[in-house]
Formats: sequence, C-alpha cells, structure tokens
Amino acid sequence: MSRITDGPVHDGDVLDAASLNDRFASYTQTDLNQFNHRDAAHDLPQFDAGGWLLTHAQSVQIGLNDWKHTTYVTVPGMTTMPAAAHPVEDGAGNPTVMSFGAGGLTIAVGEVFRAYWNLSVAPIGANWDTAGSLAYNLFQDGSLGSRPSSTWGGVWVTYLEWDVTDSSLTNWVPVFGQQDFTTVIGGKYGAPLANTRASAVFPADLTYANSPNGAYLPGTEIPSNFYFRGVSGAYFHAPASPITLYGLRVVIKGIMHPYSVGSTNYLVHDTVFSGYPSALWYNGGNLAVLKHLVQ
Amino acid sequence: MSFSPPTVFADGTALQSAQLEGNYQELRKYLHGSIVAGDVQASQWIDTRHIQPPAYEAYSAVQHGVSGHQGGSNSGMTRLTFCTKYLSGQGRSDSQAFHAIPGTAITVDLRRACTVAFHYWYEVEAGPDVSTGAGQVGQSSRQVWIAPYVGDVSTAYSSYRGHAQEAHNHSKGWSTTAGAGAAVPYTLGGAYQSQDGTLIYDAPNGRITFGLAAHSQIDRVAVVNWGVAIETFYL
Repeated sequence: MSRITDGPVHDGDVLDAASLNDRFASYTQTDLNQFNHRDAAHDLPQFDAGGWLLTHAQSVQIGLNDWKHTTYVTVPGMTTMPAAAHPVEDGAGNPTVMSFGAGGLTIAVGEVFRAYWNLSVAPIGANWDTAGSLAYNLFQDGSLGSRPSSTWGGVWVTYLEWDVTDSSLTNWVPVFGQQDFTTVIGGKYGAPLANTRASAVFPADLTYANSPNGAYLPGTEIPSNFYFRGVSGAYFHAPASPITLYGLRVVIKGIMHPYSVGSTNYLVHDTVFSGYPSALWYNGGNLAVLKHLVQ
Repeated sequence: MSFSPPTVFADGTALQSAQLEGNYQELRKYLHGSIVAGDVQASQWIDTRHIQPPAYEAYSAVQHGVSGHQGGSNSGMTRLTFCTKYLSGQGRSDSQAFHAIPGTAITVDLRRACTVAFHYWYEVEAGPDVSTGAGQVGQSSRQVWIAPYVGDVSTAYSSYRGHAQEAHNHSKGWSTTAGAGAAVPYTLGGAYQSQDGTLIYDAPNGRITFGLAAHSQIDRVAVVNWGVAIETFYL
C-alpha cells in the first residue's frame, strides 16, 4: 500500500493548493490496484471482516444422542429390492438432516463444497454362514470335507443425499458422484464403485478361523464382536455450474458386498440371510460442511 | 467507501498544520482496515506476490497467513499415547468424565474471530481388560470414547460427546497359553479402530486449544497413531 504514482516534492517547488491536494488524490480513486500496492502489501489488517473466502460453515448432530447406548436405533438387514435407504434419525422416526433454509445454499462455480460425517454404529452379525450369500465362502477339500467361512466382505454403507429441489426437503437424491445402489447388475442391486464418491462403509461382522494346524481345512469360524464403533466419511463437490442445496442428510443401506462383472467392480446388496441377527444399531454422530472459494 | 481527505486546500488561504495532519491522520485510518471491496478494482489484479507470505509457527506446526492457519501435527510413528479408565471414572457406567489424551492437542493464536475446522484421526488398540473389580461396567460395555474438545477438556462431554466415536474392548481377552499377550491380534479381536472426525467451531480471537479427550471404560487403550490439524478462516 505504499506506492504513490505522484512525484515527490522537490526543493524550489511552489507550494500551492494543487500540489497539496495531489498528495491525497491517489487514495480517492475507487479502483485501487497493483499500482498502489507493493509486494507483500496485503496482510490481515487490510481485509474487511469475514465471509467472502469461507462462504458457509455449518454442522448438525445426527442420529440418536445417547452416547452410552442405553437406547439405539435398529436397521434390519434389507431383503426387499430395490431397498429404500434408511435416513439417519433420532430414534423417534424423525430424520436428522441439515437444512439450508428457504433460500437454500448455492455453490457457485469457483467454490468447493466439503462435507464430513461420522456416526456410532454397531453391526450385530451378518450373513456369512448361509449358502447363497455373497459372504459365504466354502473351503472344499474333497473327501476330507468342507468348511464354511466368511469372505469378510459384508459391509454396511453410509452415504450422502441432498435435496436440490426446494426447502420442503421431500426430494432427496444421492449427491453428485453417488448412486443409490438400485442399478441391477447380474440380478443384484448395487452401484459401480466409480459412483460411490460419497460412501463410507464399515464391516457387517467380524469372524476369524484358526489355522489348519496340520489339517487341510481351516478351523471353525469364530465370531468376534465390534459392539459399537465409529464410521466416518468425507465428500467434496466443485460444480461446473451453480447448484442450490436445500438439505443434506446421511442415509444407510445394507448389507452390501463387493461384486465384480467383467472389469467393473460393484458394491451390491447381499439379501441372503442366516439365523444371525443381521442388523445394525446406531446412535449419534455429526455432519459438518464447509463451502469456500478455490479460485 | 473510498478515501476522502477532510480538507481540500484552496489557494489564497492560510495553510494550517492541523489541516495537513488531519488529512494524514484520516489517510492512516483508511489504510489500516478501512478499505472496502468497492475501493478495489473489480477485475482480478492481485498476485501472490502482493500477499504477505505466511509464517511457520514451529511449536504448533502450523503456518499462519492472511486468511488464517493451516497445518498440524501427528504421532510420527513414535509418539504413542494412551487412554485409560483410571483417569475417567474407573470404568464405572455413571461416570461422564473425559481426560485429555496426552500429546494430541494443538494451540493456535488467532488474530481475529474466525471459523475453525479441526480435523483429527487416530488408531487405537483397546484392552484386553478382563479385570473383575467391583463397580465397573461389564465386558459388553467396556469401550473407549474419543471426542474433540475446545478450550477446556470438559467440553468433550458438555459440548461434543455427540462427536464421540468408540472402540470396544478386545473381545477375546488374554492368551491362556504360552506367549503373553492378547489371545488373538487386535484386528481379529475387534479392538483395533482407525477413526477420524471434523469439528467446525466459530472462535473469538486469542489463544485457543483444540484437542482429543477420552472417556474410557477399559483399563488400557493404546493410541498407536494420531494426527490433529487445523484450518482457520478469518475471511
């Protein structure tokens, strides 16, 4: 802020009103630019108050806030296809969503929208031990017999949906880059991994088997227990054209399993269930968003 | 609005020092925090060289620039830390106490009110805790919760327990055969967790600490890796 384009005062110059006024004229313009600014001229004091670089920040608690799990929400494993997503809710049937108000929140070109979420979840068993399940893997050793085991591939998925229609928040769709796992692939419902940009998965159960120890087959599958654990996800979107959001929420689907057709990998619903309590419990978490300029 | 000198001089009038100094004084005020968007050329003209370069603050491992802070610290594979029920209620279910997790806090010196994004991640190995002392929770409830705090550690419970994520005690206990240690690896026992979170916080100016705290109902929990990072936005 030190460069003045007016010349300095020299000995012998006549002091008059014009020469004095010129000392201040440089700053009366309304288009201060590079001619008025030296290198490293701009520091924090030169800038006005906040809100033009970070254009929005918001967070909301999601789920049922009972951190020691006296109560929790139960999501049964989904068998009827195509399955509706379970919106994370407060235990009384009220989805816990982030609302951006009647006018919505517009993401402009040149801005990035970032979202982070986490949730306390407790997968309480899966479907690995039922023939026909994608998680069912049968070790075969001819006449010596066979041993069922888990692929460890069973997961629940959390992903983001937004409402870009209006503030009634009744028109939820997956966010950009995310599908809702309703594409039919080989008779199963799912989505290619390339279209799961807003997904975070966590295991549907945990089992292991002891090593054969001289035999040919692994030992009997042994269940462990996650009980409650955390799952977290992150997402960003830098739109090619402006988009207005009215709401954002976290939804759940499961049980899912990796699946491959040709050279494409998918995450699909695994609908064959066993006597295991194939379900999910969850409590609370957090959903936070930031929107700011990137250019 | 753009700068307007309080005195515009006219020929034929006496020049008074107060008028001259008055103009300089108003110019000083204008140049120190009074320039508004309308005074600046609308088309893009400012280059990186025009911005004050950020300074690296070694203690907090962040850089501080015109728009705010950015950076953080992590365990670096050698700074293992811990959580324990002996600092948060002896494993009793009625306790709501959180204790700071040593080494996992970051303090920043904010020059202006701002919005802070506090990012954190950690890996834990929980238990095994097969202790039988009276009063503590049963095996199925032996968990550790890790939550962020801002300023005082007590805010981990009072304000941010909704952010808490947890890990469960090693479900398989200790080995009963030769070779001391957990019966099976922590990953197979369900007691290994890698978790992360983000806290958005509107902060006043001044020094403020962001950190991780734990409520443990397990006797020993190793935080084997961790990282904390800060983004602040003044503007």
